[in-house]
Formats: sequence, C-alpha cells, structure tokens
Amino acid sequence: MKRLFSSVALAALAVQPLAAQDVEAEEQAEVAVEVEADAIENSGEEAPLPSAHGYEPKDELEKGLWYEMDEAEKRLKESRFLIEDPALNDYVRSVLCKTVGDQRCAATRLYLIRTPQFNASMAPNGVMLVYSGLLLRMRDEAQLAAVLGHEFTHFEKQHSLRIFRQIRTKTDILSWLSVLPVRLPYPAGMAAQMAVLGSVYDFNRDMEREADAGSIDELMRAGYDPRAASAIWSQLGAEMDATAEERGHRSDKNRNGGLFATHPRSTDRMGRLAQLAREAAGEDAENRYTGAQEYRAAIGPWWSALIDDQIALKDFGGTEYLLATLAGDDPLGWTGDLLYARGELYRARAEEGDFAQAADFYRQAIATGEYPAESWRGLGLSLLRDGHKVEGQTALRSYLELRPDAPDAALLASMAGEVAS
Amino acid sequence: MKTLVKLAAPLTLAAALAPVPAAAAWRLVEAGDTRKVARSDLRVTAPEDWNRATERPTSRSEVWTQDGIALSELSFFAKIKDGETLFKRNQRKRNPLPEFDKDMLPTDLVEWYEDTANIVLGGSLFEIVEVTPATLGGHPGVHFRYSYTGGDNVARLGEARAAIIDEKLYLISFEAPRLHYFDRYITGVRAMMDSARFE
Repeated sequence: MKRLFSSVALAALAVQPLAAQDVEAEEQAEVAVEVEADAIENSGEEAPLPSAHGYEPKDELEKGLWYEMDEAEKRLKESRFLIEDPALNDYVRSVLCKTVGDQRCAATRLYLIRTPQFNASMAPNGVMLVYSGLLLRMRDEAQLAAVLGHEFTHFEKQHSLRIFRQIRTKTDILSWLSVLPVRLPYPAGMAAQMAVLGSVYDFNRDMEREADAGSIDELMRAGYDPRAASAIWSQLGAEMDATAEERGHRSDKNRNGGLFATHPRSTDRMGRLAQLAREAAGEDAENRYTGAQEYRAAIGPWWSALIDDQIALKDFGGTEYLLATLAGDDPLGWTGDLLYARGELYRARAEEGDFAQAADFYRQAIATGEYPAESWRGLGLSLLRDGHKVEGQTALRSYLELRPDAPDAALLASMAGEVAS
Repeated sequence: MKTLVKLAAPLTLAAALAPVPAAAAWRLVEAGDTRKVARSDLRVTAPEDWNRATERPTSRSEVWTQDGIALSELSFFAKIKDGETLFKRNQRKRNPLPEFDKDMLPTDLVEWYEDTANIVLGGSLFEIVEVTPATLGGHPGVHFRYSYTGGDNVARLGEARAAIIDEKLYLISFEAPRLHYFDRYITGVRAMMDSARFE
C-alpha cells in the first residue's frame, strides 16, 4: 500500500511540478502535521471514542474524511457486489456485536462484498467491509470474531485517521481523495469506491500490534477461544505456500503484499498472536467457545457459491490446500460439498490423470448421500473427457433428472445422446 | 490490496487485457458487406453498418463496435490453437489465463470462457444464463448467453457462438450493457452468427 500512496503522490506531484522539487520541505511539513495530530489527540483527556454514541468528527480534516467516506458509502450501497442476504448479514453482524458488545457495535455499518479475496477493513466513519473470500476461509465463529475484533480496534484507535494526518502535507485531503478513483486502477472485482475506502489502510507495525492485541482482548471478553487469531494466519500462510508451489513462484507469505498487503509478516504475527493467546487464556483455552458448527450452519447456504468463486480463480494449489483445511484432520470432514469442489478443481485443471481423479471425487461425493446435484454433471463430463462415453452419458442423464431446468440442460441432453426436444 | 490494484480496470472483456489503442483507426463495414474476420476464412455478413477496429487485440482476433467498445462489443476469434489463451497473457505466473484444449467438450468451452472472463474481469459476478447446441459455419458447436458486472458496476449481457473446427477454436461474442444497447443489437448479431460461413 505504500507503493500505492507513492504512486498517487507522484501523480499529484506531476500536476504540481514545483512541489516535486521541494521534497525536504515536504518532509518537514509531514513532521509538523504529525506533531499537530498528536497535539489534537492529547488535548482532550477523555476524548470520546469513535464507537461512542453520537461521536462527531473533531476538526476540518476529520470532517472532510468523513464526508468523503459517507459519499463512498452511498455509492457502495448501489454496488452489485454487495451480498444482501439478510440472514448472512445478520449472522456476521451478530458475531461482531457479540465480540465488541452491543453498544460499540451500534457505531458500525457492516457490508458483505462478493469477491473471492481474503480481506476485511473498516473506514473511519464506521463502515466495515467483509469480503466473501474471508468468509470462505474462516473455520469457525471465533476466527471471524478475531478478524472483526482486529478491524474494530483499528477503527476505535482511529488508526486510519492518524495515517491520513501523516500523509496530508501541502495537498488538501479532499484532493487526495478525488485523485484516488481516477488514478487507481480498480482493485479486482470491486467498485472504485471500495478502492477509496480500502486505500486508507496502510497501518504501521505498531498499529497492527495494537489491533492484534485488541482482537485478543475482545475474544477473551466475548468468551471465544483466543487461539483462533493465530490459527487464521497459519492457515493463510500455508495456503500462500501451496499457491506458490503449484505456480512456481515465491510464496507471498512473508512479502508485505498480496493478501497481507495491509499486515506485517504473517509468520511474525502468528507467533505473537499465539503467545498473546497463551498469556490471556492459559490452559483454559481448550474450554472456550469456537462455534465451528454455528459458523458452518450460517455460511452453509452460501458455501457452494463461494467455493465456485474460489475455483474460478484457477489457483489449484491454494484451493486444494483450502479444501483440506476446511475438511480438517478427520477423514469424515470430507463432506459431499468438499468432495464435489475437489472434483471441480481437478476437472478444471485438466492435466493428465485429472479426469480420473475428478470422477473419483464426484463418486465419493455422491456416496456421502448429501451432495450437490452438479456432482452428476461433473462426473458425466469427466468420464466423457476420459473416454468413457456410455458411463458419462448415463451420469449426465442422472443430472438432468435432478436438474431439468439447468442453464445448459439442452446442450447436456444432446451430449447425453438424447433427442433434443 | 497491493496485488489487486496492479490489475487493470476492466470494463469489458476485450478492453481488459488487450485494449484497442486510443489511436486505433476505425473502418466502416457497410450493411450487406461480407467480410473475412480475424485473419481467417471465416466470413460474416453485416446486417447493418458496423465499425471495425484496424488494430487487433491479438493476431487471432478482431473487434467491431457500434457505439464504442464499452457500449457494444463484437469480437471475433479464429484459429485459436491447443495451449493458447483467448487474450494476451499478461501475468503468466501470478494470474494465468486458462488455455484452450483441442479436446474440450462444448460444455468445457463455456466454462473456459467463463473462467477467462472471471480472471480478466477480476470479479465473480459472471453468470452463464443459457447454453444450447448450435452450429458455426456449418460445424457443430455451442451458443451461450451470459451476464456480468465489470469493474464499472454496469450490468452487461453477452452471447457467444463457438465451435472447434480442425482442432482450432472459432468464437464470435457480443456484449453490451443490459440497458438499451444489448437489445438494440442482439437480433442482428444473432443473424450475423447464423450467416457465418467458411470459404
């Protein structure tokens, strides 16, 4: 994100070439702004938290920032990438409120965004964004609570506001913001306004540490197992290793980029979070609430859509790893859904032996008794690609019996050797 | 976030990875004209006036429009070989585009197109609406309809006709905003797809 700001800064400077020559003066100005910001922060001893009822922006800069964020929120409400399902929204909100308490929770407007990336963020005006790729990766309610608690701490400690005070030099904050949507290429699959909301999060390491510690406090207060926080980072780190291995590039795990663009090195933070959890809960951690079943039930209706989004990324290594973590260590953890997804993954890769493997996974899915009807479709297509025409056609007909209204029913019927009506 | 913002701001599929340069010249294709497309023997007859970009997104494709690419985009792809991708490969390792495979089933062609679109558009709101058997230039193939919302938050509809002929892929696609533009042109485009012939 630093690179992002510097490129925006460059763009701004290009418009004002004079300013570009005066880097030293600018740095001094930056320090001055920081001092000014500290003065504002230290002035009122009992300044209200942004999560308090009726909180209002304190100075011109904060007012300007809120104004822009409110405008961005209006546009966000129009976005087709919003997940509007009331049940899923209520659930995620209930986890947030349980984590930070109903009173502080009231300051938050929560939005779920359909995009397969892992991310969550919170804007200074109380807008929280949770990406569906994050929901897919959480294994239980405690992990979700850990992320939400982390973002809420950034919000309450006003980290993004502090960052803005630092980057504001000669240029007025509003013009910074107005540059952003034009200069910034879109974050993949998201509306431009989200780029604006997301772009304020270049937290420094101290801020991240503070948010991590905050998340452990919130987990403890709410009764969750605080070990959930470190588990997230070990899962994600391993997933990035798996992606990199399959694609033959270096893992992004310890790069300050990619999924971790706004976060310190994942291995560092994992260790620190695990230690914080030990200090906070000790031996008692075993008995604390994780809410794995509750989480699965809440995410259930969305699961197949979210895994489809993930498979569409064509990230074989990362997705294979992700499915295995979702199944857990238990062989029975491989549910019909997960086996179907694994079949789709292998069929999509289409390398030597993959169709036979895929057919095997679809068959296993069907054998569980609870599986997506599309397992028959996948089985039929894998068998056809593998040269087993008759069996493949039979499987396609089984699918058409279950899903006569499938979007590709007419084509599948012709492939299954039926006379098209 | 950093990785994400490196991606281009795709509005439409062809404009995404291989944009027609701003300086591209346009030539008129008059109603009733029959033309070879995408440097192949595939010929189509234009049912009304179209604008043809002289710059090609790739050596195996060609783009026509009525109102500008973001509003109406007709793409021709021809002779795509085994192992090739639909668009230019910009991020070969970190964001690989799926490759065409000469052994693909008609359903695989549709999934391949969808996967390509999802990577190019960077989003996940691409949806296949309907898939039916069809012919292209007298060869058996597939016709499919889809809808998607790209980075500009505009809802678009699209239709494509594809066939594998002599182990090579031929594909004609049309997409336009759901509002007004798609309905305005789709009947003519379907007629054009039906009119496609080989030498």
